[in-house]
Amino acid sequence: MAHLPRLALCALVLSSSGWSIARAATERLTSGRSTLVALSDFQPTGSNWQTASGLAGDPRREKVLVPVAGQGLMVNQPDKVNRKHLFSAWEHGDLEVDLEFLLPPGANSGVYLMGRYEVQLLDSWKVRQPKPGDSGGIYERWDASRGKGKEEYDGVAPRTNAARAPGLWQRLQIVFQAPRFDAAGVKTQPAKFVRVVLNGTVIHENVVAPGPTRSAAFETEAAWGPLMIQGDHGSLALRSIHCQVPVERPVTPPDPNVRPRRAPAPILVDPTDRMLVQRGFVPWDPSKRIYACSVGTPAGLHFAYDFETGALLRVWRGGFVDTAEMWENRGERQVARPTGAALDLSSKPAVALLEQPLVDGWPATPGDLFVSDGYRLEADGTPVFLSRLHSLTVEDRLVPTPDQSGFVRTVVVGGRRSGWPAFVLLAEADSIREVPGGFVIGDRSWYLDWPEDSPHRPVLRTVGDRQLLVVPVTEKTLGKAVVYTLVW
Amino acid sequence: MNPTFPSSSFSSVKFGRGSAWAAGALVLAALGGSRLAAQNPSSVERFVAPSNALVEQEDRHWRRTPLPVPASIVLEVSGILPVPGERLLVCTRRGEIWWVDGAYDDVPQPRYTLFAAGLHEPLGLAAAPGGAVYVAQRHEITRIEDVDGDGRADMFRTVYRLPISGNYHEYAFGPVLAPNGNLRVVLNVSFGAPMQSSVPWRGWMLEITPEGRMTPIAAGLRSPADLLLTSKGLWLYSENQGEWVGSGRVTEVQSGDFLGHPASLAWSHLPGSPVKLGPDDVIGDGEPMHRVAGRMPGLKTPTIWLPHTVFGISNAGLAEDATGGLFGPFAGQLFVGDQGQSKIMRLSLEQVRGVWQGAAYAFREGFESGVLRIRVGERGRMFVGETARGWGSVGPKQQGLERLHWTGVMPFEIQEITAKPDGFLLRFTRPVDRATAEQASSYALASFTYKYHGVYGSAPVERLACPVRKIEVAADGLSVRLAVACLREGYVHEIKATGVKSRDGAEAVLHPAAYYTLNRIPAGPRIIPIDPADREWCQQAAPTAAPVDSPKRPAVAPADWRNREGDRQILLGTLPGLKFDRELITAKAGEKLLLAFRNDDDMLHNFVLCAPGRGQTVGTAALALGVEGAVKGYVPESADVLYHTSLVAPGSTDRIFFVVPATPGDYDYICSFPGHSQLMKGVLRVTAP
Repeated sequence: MAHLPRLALCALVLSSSGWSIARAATERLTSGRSTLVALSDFQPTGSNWQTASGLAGDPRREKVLVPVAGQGLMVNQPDKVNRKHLFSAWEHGDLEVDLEFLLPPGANSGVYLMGRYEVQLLDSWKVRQPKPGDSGGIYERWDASRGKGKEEYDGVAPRTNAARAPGLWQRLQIVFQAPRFDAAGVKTQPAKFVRVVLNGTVIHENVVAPGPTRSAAFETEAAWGPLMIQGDHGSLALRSIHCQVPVERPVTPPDPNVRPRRAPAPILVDPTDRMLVQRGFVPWDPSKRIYACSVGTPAGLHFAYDFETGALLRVWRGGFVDTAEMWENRGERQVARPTGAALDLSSKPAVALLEQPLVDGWPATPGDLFVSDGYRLEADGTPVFLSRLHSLTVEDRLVPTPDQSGFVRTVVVGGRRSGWPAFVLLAEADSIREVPGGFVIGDRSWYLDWPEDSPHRPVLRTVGDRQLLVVPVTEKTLGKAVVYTLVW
Repeated sequence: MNPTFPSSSFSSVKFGRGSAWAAGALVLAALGGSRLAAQNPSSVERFVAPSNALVEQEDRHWRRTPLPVPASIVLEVSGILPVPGERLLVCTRRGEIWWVDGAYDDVPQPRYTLFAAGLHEPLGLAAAPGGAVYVAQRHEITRIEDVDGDGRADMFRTVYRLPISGNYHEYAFGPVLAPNGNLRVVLNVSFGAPMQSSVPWRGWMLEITPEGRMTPIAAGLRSPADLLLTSKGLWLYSENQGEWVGSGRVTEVQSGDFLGHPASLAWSHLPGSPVKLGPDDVIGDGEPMHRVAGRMPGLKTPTIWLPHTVFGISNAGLAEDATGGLFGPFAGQLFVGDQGQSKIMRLSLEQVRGVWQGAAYAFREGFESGVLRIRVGERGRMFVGETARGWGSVGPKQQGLERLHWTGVMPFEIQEITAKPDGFLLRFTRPVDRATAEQASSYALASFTYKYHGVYGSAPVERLACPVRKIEVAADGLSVRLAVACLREGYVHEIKATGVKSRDGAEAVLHPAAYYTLNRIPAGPRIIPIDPADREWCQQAAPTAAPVDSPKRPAVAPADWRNREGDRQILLGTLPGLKFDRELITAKAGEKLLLAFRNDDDMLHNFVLCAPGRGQTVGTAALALGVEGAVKGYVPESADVLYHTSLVAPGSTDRIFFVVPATPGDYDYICSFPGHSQLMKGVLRVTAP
């Protein structure tokens, strides 16, 4: 995104050596793939960019990223002097991009297709009504001649805000179609974002980019241009930038006699005054969870709960569910599909009795001793899920944090302990790292905040190539709430 | 249920064999005395087609009052629980439960208060002890309670997790509270080809204790849209036509019964199953169901068949009139609704030689949407819960809630038909006119039955006329004893009293046709002797007319087509919810077309190409074919029908070859299966070559 006035930008384009290098790129990506893993894969750039193996410090809370020397990541740390963009060594036309990025708090950057059409990267965490300038937005164009206050135009906000919390790795996938020109160089078709997916959520489909967005490296449009990562606005880390020229697919003309099979019009459900437990099948790879529910909150944070296992399947932000696949016609799939941006967790049991504690890992199913009893609703509609595991009772509830950073989950294991040791599963991932105040789960995929005054002591165990974070239920802690906050 | 009349109080008219033919004399003369014609009585009786005149007449006796619903509520009613104090709890297919207050008011403007939300397609409610409510959701039976008393449910306790695989067709109907405090539900099989029971107990009736212990009761269910415990203690359920189900029906269920659909037998070997039959015991050779039952002990035949398209196409809600007369003259009788035809039938039951059987009568039609639920509340008010979604209905609205009440104006109706050793006793609600009641030509009786096979539905087969031999009219004019020839156990007996008039006002019978399922012929005194000559005569059951390859269904390319596959091939399919997968086909006049119609739906459909603007006329004529429509593939004989396919079973395809009409225009095409044409239609746009 740009704060620079247009004139200043033009001056940059004309005078800066970095920009002239961009223009010098001649190689064209006409087919195949190109993976950009190191700065050497780009045109020479400024000292604000560094290659790194990881990040030290606390990118969740600190604005400055602390690179760890090594390979694999590219880290941008601009200051007033060093603030160069990053340009690919090749120029591209139609292109598919799949990359991962990480933003510290307040960070601002962008991915410019052909150096011209920007998908914004911004710390837009928790924004409820995203604008074109929010993360994933097709940034606005700028024309001073439109008059003061009207200079910005043609931006497209993401369908929903799919941005994650600062310091978490996020994934951006773009299918881009370059503009087309005739022999005389006259544009015959505008550039188009065929599909943009942020963190697994489709945020754009077939969005036309009529011209270069604000802060583009080039004022005019062309059939070829370099991929550009904005470097002049704030810190960011990048990795795994996979680019590919789309394979041409033969297009068959539509048969006028065949009515296209359309998806049913959405039937959106969004709780306004209290939490809503909506029973219905929950989409879950490879199929769906059938004894499950979606729980929506007026705060715009939602989750899916599984009655078969007591698992927290998924959390999401934005719209609650589309029930068209349940309520339109016969509703053949019977699923309530999240309309917001979701983070999938696990379908494994929340509580388990383990004969051999953690040696064999966490069980996939809770066994016959687990019985779901349903749920009760608190006065404000908050559901408390009730279940039994042998002689133990389990009460499980999730409530949005007041600042909407995530959910506070409260699991109370009561009743009577049996001969088997009982555990509460907090998280299972390839890696779990303890940090002050809690844990970072997976490869920076979500945060688990653990209160200092908790009567429970979480235990981190490695089983094979997986790590488990569990809480043992002891005689002393039986009946005492396991409380933690899930932030994403 | 078996009132006996001293014969001296009857005036009696007796007929020889010759005069028995008088009933159909006119038809016979026209058709050269063909036996078949006698068995195909006139197909234009008004009970068949929905008619405004009939609906208006019905409304004089049982008034229909739609209950207004705010536009913000999608009240697809799937369950109704009348609550003392003239309140209703109503659950919806979208998973809400509403309190409805003011539904009994003379000019109702009900108030709707949300009791619970977010359930998964609940299809029934039952009062639980202690003020709670049991609800059958798709996946479980839930006990719902308003613990804090603020009018809104706050406790959703799982009583029993119902087995499901995730298929949409796995509906759960009920629950019904048994006197012992247990709950019963009936479970659909899942949709597929063939219909499946993918997980244990799909297709079963289950009994479940309040603590969640389950006992399987009976197997063989397909799509059991409601169940009812009568005041006499009978468990009845309603079933929809489909594979192994020749026609809609209501059957009394006892522990260990197998009700006909074999998918459920996959689980009869499991512990606790009272059903002895296994999947390999099923005989599916297409014999009539009652005869197969003779060879297959444990197969239970219906208590009452509801002839398909005449008494509905998707039988659903069941209710008993236990009002002691507040709802009119049919106290103690039962009602069954129909979703597709938006109407309600009436049933009377009797037990004969240990077996339940009885008659079905038309009662009331013209409802606004598909009748899924009927429940009788206080003051003799019947509430009708409606939804058309997914299957369509004759009633034009997508959903609704209506009320029905007895106006006190006594209709002239057949009150009840009971079986006699040599015929039937017809009781009327008002005295009959003796002259018309004593005429044999006032009546037409015939019997037929349905095949038991894996095919979707069955045409009525083995139809045979039952000539009237003797008529006795009771002195008070309130009943008529008909003695007939050719009574047959196991068959549905069609009984029409079209010519009988009332003594006062010479009114015709409001609904003159009834269908009595004669599982057993009772013992007792006869009014005609057994005529040995009848035996041979009656054994010549009519051959069932096979669907003929009509010239309008050209199944092979005409000989003069050089390209045997036509100039162009058109594949037409179906979409769920009574739709063709395309509503516009364009073609050039004179073009030679091969049209392949593939039916991917779960019910029967056809393709009928009609003259421009005549689609709905043909659809109405198909509906008027009545019980004989199945034999004709529901295609009426009409100049408006240009070409048609056969009736295509789910998963099958029929191909026809035809030349596009020479005159450009918009030619309607419809599915002429009764009740479908209003929704399932399209246009063949013919342009100049």
